[in-house]
Amino acid sequence: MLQSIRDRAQGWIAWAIVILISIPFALWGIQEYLGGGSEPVAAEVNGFEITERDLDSEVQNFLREMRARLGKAFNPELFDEQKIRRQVLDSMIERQLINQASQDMGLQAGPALVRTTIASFPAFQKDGQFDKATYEQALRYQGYVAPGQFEERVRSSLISGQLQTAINGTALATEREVEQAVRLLHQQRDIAFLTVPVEQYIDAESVVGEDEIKKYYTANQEQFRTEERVRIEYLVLDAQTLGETIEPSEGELETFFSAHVDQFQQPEQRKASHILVSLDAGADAAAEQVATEKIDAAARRVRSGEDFALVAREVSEDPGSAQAGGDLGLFARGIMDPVFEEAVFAAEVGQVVGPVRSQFGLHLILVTEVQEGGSGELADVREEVVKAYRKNEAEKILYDYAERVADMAYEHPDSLEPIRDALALAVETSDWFGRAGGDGLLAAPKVVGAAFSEEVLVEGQNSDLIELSPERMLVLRVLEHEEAAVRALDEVRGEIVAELRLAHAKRAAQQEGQALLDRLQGGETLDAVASTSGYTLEEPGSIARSDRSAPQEVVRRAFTLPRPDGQTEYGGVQLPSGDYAIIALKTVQDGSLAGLEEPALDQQRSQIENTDGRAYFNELAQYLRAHAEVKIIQQ
Amino acid sequence: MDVYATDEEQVEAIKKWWKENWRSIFGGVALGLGLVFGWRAWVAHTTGIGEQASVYFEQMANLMQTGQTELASQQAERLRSEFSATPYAVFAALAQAKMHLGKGDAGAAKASLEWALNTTDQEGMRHVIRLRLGRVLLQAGDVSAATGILPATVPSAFAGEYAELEGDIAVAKGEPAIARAAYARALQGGAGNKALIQMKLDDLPAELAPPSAGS
Repeated sequence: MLQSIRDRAQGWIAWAIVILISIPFALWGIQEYLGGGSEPVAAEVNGFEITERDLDSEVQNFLREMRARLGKAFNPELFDEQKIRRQVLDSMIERQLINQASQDMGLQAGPALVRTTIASFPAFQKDGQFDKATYEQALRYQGYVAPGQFEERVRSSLISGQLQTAINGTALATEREVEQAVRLLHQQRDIAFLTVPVEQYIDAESVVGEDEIKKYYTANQEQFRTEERVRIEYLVLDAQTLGETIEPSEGELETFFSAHVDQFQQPEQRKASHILVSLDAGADAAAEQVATEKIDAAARRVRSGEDFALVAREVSEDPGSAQAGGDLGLFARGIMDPVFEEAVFAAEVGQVVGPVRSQFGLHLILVTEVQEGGSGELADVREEVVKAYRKNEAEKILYDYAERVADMAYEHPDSLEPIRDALALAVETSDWFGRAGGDGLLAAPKVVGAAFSEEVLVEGQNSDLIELSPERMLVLRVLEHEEAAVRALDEVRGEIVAELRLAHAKRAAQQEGQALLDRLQGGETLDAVASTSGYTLEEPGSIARSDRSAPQEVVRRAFTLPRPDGQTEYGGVQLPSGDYAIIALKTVQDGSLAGLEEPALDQQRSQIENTDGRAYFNELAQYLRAHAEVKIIQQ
Repeated sequence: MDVYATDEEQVEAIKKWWKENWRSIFGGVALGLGLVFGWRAWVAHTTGIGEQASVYFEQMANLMQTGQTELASQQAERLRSEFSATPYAVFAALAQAKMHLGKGDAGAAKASLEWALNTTDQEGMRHVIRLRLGRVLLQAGDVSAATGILPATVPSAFAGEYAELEGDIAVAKGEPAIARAAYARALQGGAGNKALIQMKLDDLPAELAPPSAGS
C-alpha cells in the first residue's frame, strides 16, 4: 500500500493538489494575521488602519463634549459634519504617527508603570483606592471587551506622552534670547507725527449719483442687515442670594458645628526627620542583630552631637527622604505607620527618640516642628461656621425651589407669575439681544440657546430650568421677538451718501499724505512741512508698544518702521476715521534687563520655552506626517 | 531517489539513515531551540532595561518639573551612563542641556546636545535637537558653528524655525538684508513665535549697514 501511495505522490496530480491547497493559505491567511477583515477603513497610516468605527466613536465623543459645553445652544446643524470628521481624523492620524515614532524609537512602558497609571485614574477608584471591580465595570461600560485592550491603549498613550515630555520638558530659552525679547518688547521709540484731517475733504454739498448709491446698497447688504433679536423676562435662583438672609439661632449653629466639627478643626501636625535601617517584619535574628547594631551606631553619633541631617544622608535607607536629611515634612495623625506615629506625637521638639521598630524597619526620629491644632471651640471659628451653615441651608432651599420651579414652569407654561408669587422671587426683564448673547448671565450659550429654541421662541412657552452652575439656575420666557431683515434702500439712503462722501475724502487725505511723505523723503524736515502745510505737529516723544498717548495705528506703524541709523525714518498710516498720519521716527531706545524685576524675566523665559516646546513638537508631528504613508479613504 | 523493492527494505534503509544522521538531527534541534530561547531571553533582557529606563525617565521629568534640579540631573546622569543604549539616554541629554543652560553653562549644554544629535536615529528628533544646538551655539558666541548647523535641505515642517535661526545668525554677523529675508521666510514658513519674529524684523535697520551697537 505504501508503495502505491508513493508512486502516485510523485505524479503531477499530487503537485497540482498541493499548489491548489497552498493558494488559499497564502492569500487569505495573511489577512487573518493582520487582524483586518471586512471592516471599512477611514485611513491608513503607514499600514495601520484607522477604522470607520473608531472614527465614528471619536466624532461622537467630540460632539458630546461640545454639547456638554454649549447646552441648548448646541445645534448639530451648525456643525459641518464633513469638516468635523476630517478634523477628528487628522488628529487621530497625528496621534497614530506620534505613537508609531515612539514605538520605533524603542520607548517602553512596563507593566508596573501601566498599572500605577491606571490605578491613578479617579474613574477606577472607590473611596480613593483603585478597585478592580469598578475598573472592570467602567471598561465594559466603555465598550472594551478585555482589560488587555485598554491596558494596551494606556501603554501607547504613555509612550507617546514620553516623547512629548522629552521635547516639551526640555525646551530651552537662552539668555541671549531672553535679553533680546526684553530689548524688543520694552523698546521705546521717539516719534513725532502730524495728521491730515479727513474732514477738510468731506463735501456735504457734492452730488452723489443714484447709480452709485444703488451699487453700494447691493454690494453691502450685510452692512444693512439687522439681526434677529429677542427681549426676555427671567427669574434667577441663586444659592448665594437665597442664603444671605438666613440667620441661624444659637442652637442651630451649635448642632451644625458639632456635626461638622472636623471641617473647622485643623488637626495637630508635626514635622519630623528620621533615619531608617530597613528590617523586614519576618527577618531572622541575624538580620535583626545587624540592623540593630547599625541603628545604634547612628544613635550614638546623633546623641553625641553630630548633625542629624548629615547622619541621615549617610546612613538612612529610606530613598524618599535620605537625600533631604531624613526630612519627611508635615503630617497629621493617620498617615504614617502607627508605631512610628506614636513615637513622633509623644516626642518633644528637638528630642531624638528611638530606635523604634515599624513595618519598614528601625527608625531614629527627630521632631523638628509642632503645629498645634485648632481649639475646638465654636467661638473661635464662629464666622466660618455661620458661612458654612448658610451655604448648606441655601443649597437645600435651592434644591427644593428648583424642583418647584421646574414643576410650575411646566404646569403654567405661558407665564412666570405663578412662580414669582409662590416663591417671592423677582422677575427681571432684559434688553434686546441677538444670538450672540446678552449681558451678564444672559451671555451664557445655554441661555441664548433656550431663548431661541422652538418651544420658547415660537410656541411662547417657559424655558426649562437652566442650570448655569450648581449654585445658580434660571428660567426664562420671551417677551418680544424681531426677525432678521435687510433695511430698505430709502431708509438707509442718507447713510450711504455720507459713506460715499467719506470714502472720497479718505482717498484725498491719503493722496495729500503721500505728497507730504515725498517731500520728507526728499529732505525737508517734519517741522518745515508742518509749518508750510498748516497741520498740527504732535510730539508724544518716547513711546512704548502699549502706549495710548498716540492713536493705536500710529504706535503700531511707528514700531514697524526700520530702525533709524542716524537719519530719521518716515512712514504714513491711515486711521480708521480716515485721517492720514505722517510719522517721523527719530531714535530707538532698547529695553534693558536692568530695569526689570525677576518675575518679569522668568515670565519671558518661560514664554520662550513654551514656544520652543509647543512649536517643535507640532513641527515634529508635521514632519512625521510628511514622511509617512497616509492614505485617507473617502467614503 | 532510490527505488526499494519491498517495505522491509525501506524500513531497513530508514534505520540506516537514522544511524548515520541522528547526531546532526539532535544537534540541529538543540541549536534551533537554543537560538529561539536565547533570542527570547535577549528580548526580555533589553525590554526589561528599556522599561527600567522608562521609569527613571518619568521620575526625572517630574523632578525637573517640580524644580528639583539637583536630583533631576543625578537621574539624567544615571540614564546616560547605565542606559546609554536606550532612547531615554538621548532624552536625558536633552534634559541635561536645559539644566546646564539654566546654570549659564552654554558649553556643557552644547556638548550634551551634540551627543544627543549624534546618538538618536529618529530623523524628526534630529531637527529638533539641531535647532536647539544652533541657538545654544549663538549663545556661546560661536556664529560660524551655528551657521554649520543649518542643513543643506530643510524639511518644510521645520522651515520656519530654521529660517528664524538663519535670521538670528545674520543679525549676529551684521547682515540685516539677509536677516530681513530670513525673518520674512520664517513668518511665511510657520515658525512658532510669530509676534517676536515680527518684532525682530521691524527692528532691523533699513539699509545694508551694521546694526547699531546701542542696547
